[in-house]
Amino acid sequence: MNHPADLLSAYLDDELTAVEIPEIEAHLSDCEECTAELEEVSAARMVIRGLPLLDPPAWIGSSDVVPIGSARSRRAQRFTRWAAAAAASVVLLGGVVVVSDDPAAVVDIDTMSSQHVARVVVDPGISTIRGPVAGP
Amino acid sequence: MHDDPVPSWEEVAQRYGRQIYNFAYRLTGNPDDAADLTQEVLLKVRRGLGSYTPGTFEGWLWRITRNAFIDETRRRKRRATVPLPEGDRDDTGAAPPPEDVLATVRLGEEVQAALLDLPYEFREAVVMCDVVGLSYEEIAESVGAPIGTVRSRIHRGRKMLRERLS
Ligand SMILES: [Zn+2]
Repeated sequence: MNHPADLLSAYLDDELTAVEIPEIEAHLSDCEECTAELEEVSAARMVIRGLPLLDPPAWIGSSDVVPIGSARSRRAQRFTRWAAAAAASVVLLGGVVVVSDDPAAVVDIDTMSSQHVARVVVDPGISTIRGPVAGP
Repeated sequence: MHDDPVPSWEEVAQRYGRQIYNFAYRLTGNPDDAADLTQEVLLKVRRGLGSYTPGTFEGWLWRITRNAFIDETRRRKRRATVPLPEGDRDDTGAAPPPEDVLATVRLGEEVQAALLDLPYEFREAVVMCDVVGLSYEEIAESVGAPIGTVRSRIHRGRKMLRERLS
């Protein structure tokens, strides 16, 4: 049997067929090269599996949050406030954007962010409040 | 292959939101991008659930997730970005964490950096397997490649990662 490199990870993941398992084990029993490679990929596998599972922000996946409240638009919003304050001392709070929970009303967030940033650059009087909107 | 029942959107969001977020986070290394992508995927799933015909739900879900991720990455490359001002940081002013916590964080950052260094197909296969916990069959269905290709990508991805970390 040739060195079954690709099958070594599948062996670790218990993704081999009943026919392949004894073949691999027989090969490993007298191939130092593959045994060393098995140890290497096993170490990498453990390191990745050891990465902490992170908690998403609370607004993720709640049905009453539309993408307008998402991370990138909040960044754009911070930029908006900063630009507004820097460009003029007039800061108007208002212009609340209300979007319903209707999937058809979902606004492309990229368009939203870029439009808002673009608007505020030419018109520093605009600032917006956006975020979760209660659904039905 | 068996037919999975069609879950409600709330069930999908609850059961898979965290997995999708971690998938996106490990592929991008950026929490904001990961959060946006996750919500985008969940909304696509909400729109798509009506036309979902029972099959393997995981395969369907991860295919949507993967395609959304790839679309978004392409879109970003094309778009000129507005630089954020200096000082745009979420500064919580919290006390610095103890040394052992810092060591864990540094190790996590090294692994994350090594992951980001892998060619996309290898990173994707490794993350789907070792972070999300998908079977090879589910990965094959999600990425539209034969099992043999999946085996090879996972194995080579891990090998590259090991080399970059040593
Ligand atoms: Zn060998």
